[in-house]
Formats: sequence, structure tokens, C-alpha cells
Amino acid sequence: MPLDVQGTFVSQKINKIRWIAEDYVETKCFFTGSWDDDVNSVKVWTLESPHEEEEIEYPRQLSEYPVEGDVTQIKFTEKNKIAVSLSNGDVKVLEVSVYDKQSPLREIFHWKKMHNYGEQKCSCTSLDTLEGDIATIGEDGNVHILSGRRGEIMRTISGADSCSLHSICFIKHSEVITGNLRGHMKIWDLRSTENKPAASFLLAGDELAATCIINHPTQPHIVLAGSESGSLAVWDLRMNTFPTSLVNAHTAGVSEMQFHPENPHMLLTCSVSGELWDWNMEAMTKSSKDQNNQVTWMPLEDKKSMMVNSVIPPLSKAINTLHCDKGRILCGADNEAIYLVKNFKY
Amino acid sequence: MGELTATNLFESQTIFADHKDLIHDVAYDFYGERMATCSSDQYVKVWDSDGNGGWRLTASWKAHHGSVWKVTWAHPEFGQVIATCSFDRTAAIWEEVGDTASSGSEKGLRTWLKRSNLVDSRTSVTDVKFGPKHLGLLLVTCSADGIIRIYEAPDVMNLAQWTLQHEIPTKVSISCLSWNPSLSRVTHPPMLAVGSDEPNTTNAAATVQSDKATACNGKVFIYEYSETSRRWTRTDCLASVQEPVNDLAFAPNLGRSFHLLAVATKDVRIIKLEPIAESSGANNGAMVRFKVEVVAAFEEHYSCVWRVGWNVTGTLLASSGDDCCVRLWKMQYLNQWKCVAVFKNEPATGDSPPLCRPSTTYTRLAAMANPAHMPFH
Amino acid sequence: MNTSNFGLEPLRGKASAPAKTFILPDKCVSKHFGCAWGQGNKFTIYPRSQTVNKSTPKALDNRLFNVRQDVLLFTPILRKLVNESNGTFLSLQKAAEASKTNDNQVEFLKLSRQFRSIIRVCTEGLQEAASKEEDGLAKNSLQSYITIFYSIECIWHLCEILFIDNIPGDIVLPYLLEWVRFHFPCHEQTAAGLLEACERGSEENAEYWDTVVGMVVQGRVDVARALLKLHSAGESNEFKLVDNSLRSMPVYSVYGGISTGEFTISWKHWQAECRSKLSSRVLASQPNLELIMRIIIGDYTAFESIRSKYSSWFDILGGWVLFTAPWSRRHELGAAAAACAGMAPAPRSHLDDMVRALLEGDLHQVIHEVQQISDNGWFATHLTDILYHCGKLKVLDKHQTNVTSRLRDSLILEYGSLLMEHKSLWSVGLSYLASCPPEGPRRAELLLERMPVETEAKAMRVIAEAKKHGLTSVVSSVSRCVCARAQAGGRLGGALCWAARALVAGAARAARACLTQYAARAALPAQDLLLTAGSAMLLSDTLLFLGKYCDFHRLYKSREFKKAGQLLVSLITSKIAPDYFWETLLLDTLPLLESDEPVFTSNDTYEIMLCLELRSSSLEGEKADLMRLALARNLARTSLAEGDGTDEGGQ
Repeated sequence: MPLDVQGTFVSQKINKIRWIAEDYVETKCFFTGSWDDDVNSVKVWTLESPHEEEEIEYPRQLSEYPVEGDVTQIKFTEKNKIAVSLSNGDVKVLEVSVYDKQSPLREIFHWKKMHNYGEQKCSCTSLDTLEGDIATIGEDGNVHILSGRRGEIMRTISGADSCSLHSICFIKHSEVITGNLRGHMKIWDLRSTENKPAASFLLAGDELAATCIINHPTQPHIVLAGSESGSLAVWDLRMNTFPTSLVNAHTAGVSEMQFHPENPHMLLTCSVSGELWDWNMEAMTKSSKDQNNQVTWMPLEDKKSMMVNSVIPPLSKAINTLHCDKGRILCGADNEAIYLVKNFKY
Repeated sequence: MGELTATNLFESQTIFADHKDLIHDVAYDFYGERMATCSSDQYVKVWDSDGNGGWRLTASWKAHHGSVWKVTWAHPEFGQVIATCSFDRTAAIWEEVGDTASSGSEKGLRTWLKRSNLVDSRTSVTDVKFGPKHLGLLLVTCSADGIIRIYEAPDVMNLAQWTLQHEIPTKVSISCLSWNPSLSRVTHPPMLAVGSDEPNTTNAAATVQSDKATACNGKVFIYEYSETSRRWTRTDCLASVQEPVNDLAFAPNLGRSFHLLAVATKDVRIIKLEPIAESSGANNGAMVRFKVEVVAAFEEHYSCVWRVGWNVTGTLLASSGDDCCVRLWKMQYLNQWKCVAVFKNEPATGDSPPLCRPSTTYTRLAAMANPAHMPFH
Repeated sequence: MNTSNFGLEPLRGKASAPAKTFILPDKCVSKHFGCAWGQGNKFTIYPRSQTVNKSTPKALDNRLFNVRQDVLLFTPILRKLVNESNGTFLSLQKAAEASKTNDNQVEFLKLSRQFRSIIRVCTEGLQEAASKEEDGLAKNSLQSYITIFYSIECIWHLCEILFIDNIPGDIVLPYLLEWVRFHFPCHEQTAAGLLEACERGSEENAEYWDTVVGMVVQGRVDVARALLKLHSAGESNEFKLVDNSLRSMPVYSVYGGISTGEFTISWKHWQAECRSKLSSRVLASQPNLELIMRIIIGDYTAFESIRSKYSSWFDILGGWVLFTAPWSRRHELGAAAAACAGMAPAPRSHLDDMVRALLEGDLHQVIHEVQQISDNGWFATHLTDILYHCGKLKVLDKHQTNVTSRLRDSLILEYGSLLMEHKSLWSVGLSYLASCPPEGPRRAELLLERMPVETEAKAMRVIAEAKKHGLTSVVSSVSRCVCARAQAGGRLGGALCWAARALVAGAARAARACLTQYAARAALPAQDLLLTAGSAMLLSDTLLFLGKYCDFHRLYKSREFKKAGQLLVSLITSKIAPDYFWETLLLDTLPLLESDEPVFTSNDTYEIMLCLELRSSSLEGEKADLMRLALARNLARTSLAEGDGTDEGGQ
């Protein structure tokens, strides 16, 4: 079947979009988080065909959970629980009912002003989750590790950065990597009581923000970071310091990246320049398995050899988020629309 | 299909200002998120938008020993800074400090410190304005005795130190002033317009005429700064404005070759000033700096006009006059100006109930059937 | 090509509507007002006095009135239209760019249809919302939006037919009929119902004859004939005569192989035949059939008699053209419009005026009328833009100067500026302003730098958008303001970082704040930043100094005293340190002077001594004495050691 792209205008800028995993059936529902509006919210949607016989599915809103500030990140802590970071500094854990997705989201935990400048507001810029733990970062340069199960603060690295932090990723249970406004990356050993990074390096010479970080699903020592300039950097943490590869990719900031859950060789990226690309990373990840022989690494500089494809024609506004489930990709954009890509080959 | 033509609907909210005397000026900050008010009660108040359409009082202090005439915000690049001027012959510079430990901070009250007091004037200081930010941190004041003073903070970190750079006597009472906001320093030197509220007695006219520099009895003067002579000089006097001037304002330039100046006098005027190239400007030995043209004169207020103001892009002009009306003027695409809305007060018949909250929510304004508007057949 | 003069007054001698007067709420006693502008079109009206009243007025007015425009397009359901049409608008600008080199009419038509489908989707959305809405007031406003967008689509469609579509032979009739059928689908359901039932004696239905006549007027001759056959007297001679007349009506087709001239002759012949049948009075017993015959011969009185059955004259316009001048070209519809509009003394609606002006080809008047629609300029902007790009709009002012592009630009600027006021729609507004140089980008600069940026994410997005459109002044202005805010909040790392982004002297300010803070509190802020900063350091001397100084701290902490010492001496001797920092800098030498292993050479020591004396004002007496002592001691031990070792010591 040919690739099918369908946009739905939803009257709010979508900053985060997430499929809600299903056990035995195809995913049908998803979360969105909005930003840059007078009132923002987390919504639950379902895909529906308005007429039985029709193939086309449209998103229909099931519930709305208004929040104060922008939704800056949504990550799952459990199958039906999400951790949500907000630009007013709050962090919440919300639960969607497994049986009735139409019922309102339930607030499990609420950390008020987790990030702050004293009395003044400070944005909680992002978070990452791993096995129920939540790592949050903020413009205040602090890192907090929260328990998504017990609702307590397990560890705080205050003053982790003198600048604002913009991206975070769990490398393993005891280790996170953060990226700041200048693309300064720091690795933190959460077992250490010292507020000092275990390692640090720069994303690129242009000193622009690290907008997102992910690691490879099967080779967790391989870390990728997207930059505000649109470039993409790859590190092998077994050989830290400079990025092994830095490639000029999008024409404006990389907003989100995801390895395809079914195919670890495939990377999806979206950008502020309105692009949604898929990358075939096979060459890179394969050769990197050879630990001792550095020269066999495929240079990332050449975009073409990476097999980059545009999944959808570029939008005139930023694509802020993507989430992929098998052959279907959801995107949320600044033109107040959700895009559903179907029949995507992976 | 009558609904098709209901254009220009407005809604309004009411804010209870709680000044103990008449309000003289209201000024918004650069973002339109904060509002400062000043009054004859000698107080200045600062209001912050709560993000949901409401306004919250965050500071209120006695700023002067006389009526406070004007309040104005500095560019946010210089911090949270306002300047005030008063009947007490001073102008003052205030800075908000992020002191969260002070009393009242838990109630959301902020502290403003007086950073400097400008005491050079011997008469009431009638207007104060910060200069365009590309010129640095400049402040201009004018006073009833007709002296324009330009101050500069040489170190933008130190708001306590202001040096009086220029003192320009005008010999007439000055009521208002406006900086030309043009960003192009190359084509437009720093420029100020000042307006005089000197009444038109024969005596006063004679004084002005005796001023050799300008054989003109207009009430609006243009001053420009010359980089070479490092002086401000009067480069024009607008002969077309003969009546006392209450307010004036330059429109944002938008890259145009000419400037638009709105003047509140016995009517609302929009005056176009087009700089003449140096070479062609020499006329009988005297330099003519501008081609001056009155592009609009609205007499709809039928009375004295007190205030004029432009919106951010200079596409709408608001004027208020003695006729209890605020009018909005808009430029049509062929540069004609047209009144697009009138806001009128219905005189009170009795005491209206006091507001229980500092601000109300927005409600649609009722439109009045215009008696001049005949039903359409 | 449409040409019209534009003076101050709109055309047709209609005086421009006087400005509306609004009453301020909460009656207040004051007579005098002041006004102050806020963001966008928001402003405040406040009661004020001009003179100082010594006595406090009896009643004091202390209320401020914040006034703003109530913008229809900001309602969530219409934001979909705003966003979706923005995409089409941008495609249109690209197509217009491409059409400079080759003809792009097909693309324009495609985009025009896209606009119409967007309007239709919007109308459907509104209808669905209205059907679900339970609140009466909200339902009413939704209904009025439906009316607005329904009319917009109707006008747009007609515009597309008359000015954008490529019509073979310019014969407009089939398109006109299609327009009428689409927008005024009168009797369609009844006709379908009757045909489906297919029962003889359908005239029992009260609407039977109205439906038959309606089908004839809509040019659906086949349907009319099929309906006539369902009449119980369908087989009678009278019916057969009418059926025959309808069947034999010549239909023009560009591809039919005959010229318009030939067609006109045969059509006139056919109509003459019909006329003679009618005058033979064979139909006298069947007034309804007679009416049909009178219609198809284009009898004005016949049309006049049925006009009252329709809500508007548009319903019969297609029929009128069909039966009076089927060969009409696009620009020849004015007379037909006048004839149809004149048939009933119904009050003229706004839609009437727009359709009339369109059919008369007076696009300028159309745009003038369209501007009166309360859709906040959405329609006027997009319609004018597409007509302008199609080359179908030509507006002259009273001096015969072509002002078309000015009209188009002013509408786009207005619409773009309006959207810039909205918290979320600003990026849409920006793309309109950016497409309209030179004034658009200037307006965008003013509005963009005034956009409140509560978070860095928003600041970064504003900057990205500004960069995309080449608005560099906004990039630095926003960065400077974020820098100033960070500095005011004591966040010096953030301040330095944003200063570097602003690429301005602001960096020096922030660097200075760092040094001052260190001099006062002894903890150097933002070390992680300073040690990794690259070219940003070259922005200012102070920043460069700060970076080097920070490096000194790093070396010192990692106990590389020799290197640290060298760096410190170079910082002292280069004399780039700001005045207020000399004390700190000189005192920093103390621990190195006192270290077990000598760190400074005798030459270094001389240099430090020299600086100490030159800068005696920076250091208090006691501290200076302490320094002198340490320097002397160090000089003693180093001279000794250097003298012992190499020849260099002797120099």
C-alpha cells in the first residue's frame, strides 16, 4: 500500500505526541501535549472512521486535561502512566484508564515548582523515564531524579549546569546525560554523591543548544544528540570526548528523534524547519560494533550515504514531535495540526 | 445576511486603579505585559498581567512630592526600569529589584528602588521619555520653563549615574515630547519633536518671533543631533501648528523615507516630515531640512485634543479630546485616514457599585446606533 | 481585466459607513480621557484631568478600561481555517513566483479550489458544532459564522468561475448553472424523491409544479422532462408539446463542432418555434405548462412571476441566462444580473451587492464589499491575493496610477498583523508579513521583538522564525532581553550564554557581572561554561579576560601551579584586567608566592612588583604591605636559585 499522510487541524500547537501502547490490538489512541497558547492541555485522542465503510481514520478527542504553562515533554513511566513536564516548573504523573480512555486523566503525582528560581517561575524543559524513574531538567540548571512509583525525590543535582538544560536521556539506570543551551553535554553518575559530571564534552563548535538526546535501543553506549542548528551528533561513550560524527542535517533545530521500535537501524527525526526524515543507520551501527578498529566507522558527514528520506513533504511550520508505532508515525506541528503517516515501510 | 457586516467589535474590561486622585498617565512596558499608572496622589503603581486576561497590582509607592505627570518604561534590555516626572520639579528613575526576601514578596509585591533623581529643572517637569535603545540609555525631560534636558547613563549597569549631556532652551513652555523611533542611524540622525502649550497671547508670539533662529510662531519644534558638531539643533518649526499643543507622537518608521508625527492640539493632526537631501536643501542660504505636509487634520472632536498615541506598528492612532470620546484612526491603503471607531462615556447618573475584584473579565462593548447613520434602502 | 477608479469614496455613490460608536461600561463621572496603547490592538482608556485641581474632585474615577478587538478568527474552530489556509496561501506565493517564468493558471485554479474546500470543511465543522451546541447564545454565534462562511464560499466559487477558471470559448453558462445548482439547491430533494418513487400522478405532491419549474430554471431540462412524464396527464398532447420543445433545445458546446454564430441562429430558431407554439394558445388549458414555455422563451414577466418563490434572485440567474443569452461570455453577465435583481423589490442584502458587482466585473467594488464581512479580513486578503497573482485585478487611483499591489499588500499586512497578536497564531501571522516586503518584515520586527518570551524554548522558537525570514535585528534584540533578564535574576551563566548569542557588547556586561560577583563573593560563576567557550570569548576583552582567569582557577585547582602562575603573570602584564578586578588579581599571586616550590621567576616577580606599585590605589595599605613582603621573599629565593643554576639568571 502506498504511503498515506493525513493531517488534522486541532486548534492548538502540538509539542508532544505519544501512542498509547495496546497489548493485543493495533494502537488506536494517543496523547498530545500543547504549547504556546493561552491555555494548554494534555489530550487523549482515538482514531475513528466517521463512516463505517471508509478507510480514512480521523482523530477524535476523548478527554482534555488543562495544564498551566506549556507541555514540554511527555514520557511513559508505565504502560498507562505518563510523566509530563511543564514550563511553569511542575512535573506531573498522569494515568489514563485502561478500560475507559474517555474518562478524565487521573493525577497520580504532582511536584509543584520542581524547577524554580526561588519565588519566580522557571521552566521544566524536559524529562526522561526509565523503569519508573523520572529524570527532570530545567532552565535553573538542576537535575532531579524522581520515583514515578513512590512519588518521592530520590536525588537532586543542583547547579548541574550554569546554563539552562534542554535535553536529558537515561543511558542506564544509574547514569544520565544532559545537554544545555550551548550544546555542552555532561554525563552524571547518579550513584556518586558529588555534584560533578563523570564526563563532559561539546556537541559542536557553534555552541547552540542540544535540543534532544536519545540512545540506541540495542547498543546503549551509542548516544545521539540533535542540535538547535539542525545537525546531528553521534557518540560512542566507550570512546568519549568529541562526537564520532557530526552531520549537518536539517536546516533548523532537530526537535525530536526516535529509533524505530521494530527496526533499530532506522532513525526518524523531525525539525523546526518542518521536515520529517527517516535515516538508515545500519552502516553506522554495524561497523561500530567493532570496538577496537575505529577506522571502519562510517563517516556520518555524508548525508547521502546515510540513506536519508523525506517521509512527508516539508511543512511551512515546525514539526515539534513524532512518535512511531510499526508502520504508523504520528507528528505534531506548530501549524496546529496532527499528521498521521500510514503504511510506512520500515 | 445582516450578520455579514458587523465589523469591528470590541470588548473591554474594567480595572479599579485605586489612586487617591486623578490619573495623569498610563504606560505599558515593551511587551504590553506590565502597566504603570501615575496620579496627582503622588503615587506610581505597577500592574502585571496575570496571563489570563486579568491584572494584578504588584507595586505602589509614593514617588514624588507633587502630581506625577508622566511615567515611561525603558527598553527591557536595560532591565525593569521606569522614569517618572512631576510637578515637584524632578524626574526620577526607578528599578525593580529581584529582592524576594523583602516584606510583601510572598504576596507577590515587588520592590522598586529609586536609582536616580534628576533635579536640574527649576519648574515642573512636564514630560519624560527614554531614547531609542540603539542610542544607548538616554533620557529626555522637558519642563514648563521650556528647557529640554538630555541625560545619558554612560554605564547601563549603573542607573545611579546620569550625566546631563545637553540642555536646550526653547524659551516657550514645553508640554510634551517624542523621540523619533527610526532605527536607521545612517539616514536619520537622532531626532526629537517637542510641543508647546504656550497660550497664544500677542506677547508670547512676539517673544517667539524675537527668537532669531526661527521666525516662526508654530508650536511644534524638531530637534536633531549632529554627530559632527555633537550638538542638538532646532532644524524645523512646524508653522502649520499655531495652537497650543498637548501631546505629540512619532509613528514607528517601518523603513519609510519620511516620518509621521501625530499632534494633539485644537484638532488631531498627522504631519509628514520628509527629509530633504543636503544638496537640494539650501534655499536662500537658509537650510530647509524637511518637506512638511499636513496629511490629515481631524476636527471630529470639536474641541481640544489631549492625547494621541500610535499602536505598535503605527497603523492605528488613538486620540482623546474634551468631547468625552476616544477615537481610533486608521490609514487606508491609499494613505487616506479614516475614523474606524469611537469610544464614548455615558455620564453617570448615580454612583456605580465599587468593584470587588481589581479587574473584571472582558465583555463585548455595546454599540450605539449612530443618529447620522440612516437606515439603508 | 478589471479596471476601476478608486477615489476616496467607494463606488456607486454609497457613502462610506460612519465609524461605530461604542459605549464604555461602568458609567463613570469623568469627561476627559487619556489613552495608552498596549500590545497589538489593545489599548487602555483612562479618565484624566489636564489641570492640577487643588481640591480633590467630588467623585473620583479610578477605573481604567482595557479595550481590545474581539477577533472572530481566534475562536478555536476557526483557527483550523486560519492554519490550513495559511498553507495554501504559502503554496500560492510559490506558484506566483514560478508563474513569472511560465504560465501557471492551472496551478492557480487548483489552489483556488483548495481554498474553497477549506472553507467548506470549515462550514461543515461549524454545522456539526452548532448541532451539538446547547447554549443558545453560542449556537447563535455559530449560526452566524455559518452564514458568513457559506456566503464566502458562494462568492469565491463565482469569482473562480469568472476570473480564475479557464473556460473553453469563454462561454460561461454551464459554469453559472453549476454554481446556481451547487449553492441554491432548491427543489432538488423533492425532484429526487419524486423520480425515485416514479409514480404517475405525482402532481398530487403540492410542490410538484414548483419543482418542475425549478428544474427548468436550473437548466436541468432532463429532470424536468422526467418529472413531466410522471404527471397523470403526461401522455397528453400538451405535455408532449412541452416535452418536445424542451428536448429540442440546442445546447452549445465548444467541442460540438459548430461556431457560436451557427449556434445562435439555431437557438433563435428554436426559441421562435417555441414562441409560436405559445402564441397558438394550445396550452391555454395548462397554465403551468404555459409558464414553462414562457420561461424557455425568456419572457421577463414569467421570471418575474416566479421570483417570489425563491429567496434570492441568484436562483433564477442561471435560467435567465440560459433562456435569454446562452452564448454569454464571462464579462457579459452584468445585464442579466441587473434584470434578475430588478424582478422583486426585495431589500438588497450584502450578498446581493457582492454578486452584482462580481457579475458586472467590478472586482474593486467586490473587494470593497468583501471587506465589510466580519471575518477579520480573511476572505478579502486571500481573494485579493489570488486575483492579483492571476493578473485579474487592476485598481487605479484618481491619478490613474495602478495601485493594485498596494491594495493587496495592505490587506495582507493588516491580516498578518492581526494574527501576530494571538499567543499561538503569531507564527502564521509572521508568514504573511514576511511575504509582503518591504513593509511586512519591518512590521514583523516590531511585533516579534515585543512578543513576550516566558521560556527559553519560546525565545529559541522566536529566534528560529526570525532567522528563517532574515530578521536579524530580532535575533539580537530577543537574545539581549533574555540576557538582561537572566542577569537581573543573578543567573550569570545564562546571561553569558545569551549575550554570546546576541553577539554584542552585552557579553561584556555579563562578564563584568561575573567578575564583580567573584570579587565580592569568591565563587566564580559559570565555570563550566567559561572553560568550554570557544570563539564567543572574542566578543569582548572582559569576556576574554574572564575566560582566561577561569582557566587559571582550573589550573590552580588541578595543582598545576607552574602553568597557573604563568597564566596569572600574563594576565597581570597584559593589563586587560578591568580596574575593579586588580585587587583580586594581585592577591591571587600571594599563595603562589608563598608556595614551597617557587612558581614565579625573578622576572615574573619584578613584573608583579611593578604592577603593584603602578596600581597602588587598588590595594589597601595592609594588603599591599603583605604583598610587598611576599614578593621580596620570592625574589630573594628565585634570584638565588637562578643565579646558581644557569647563565640566564645573571642577565
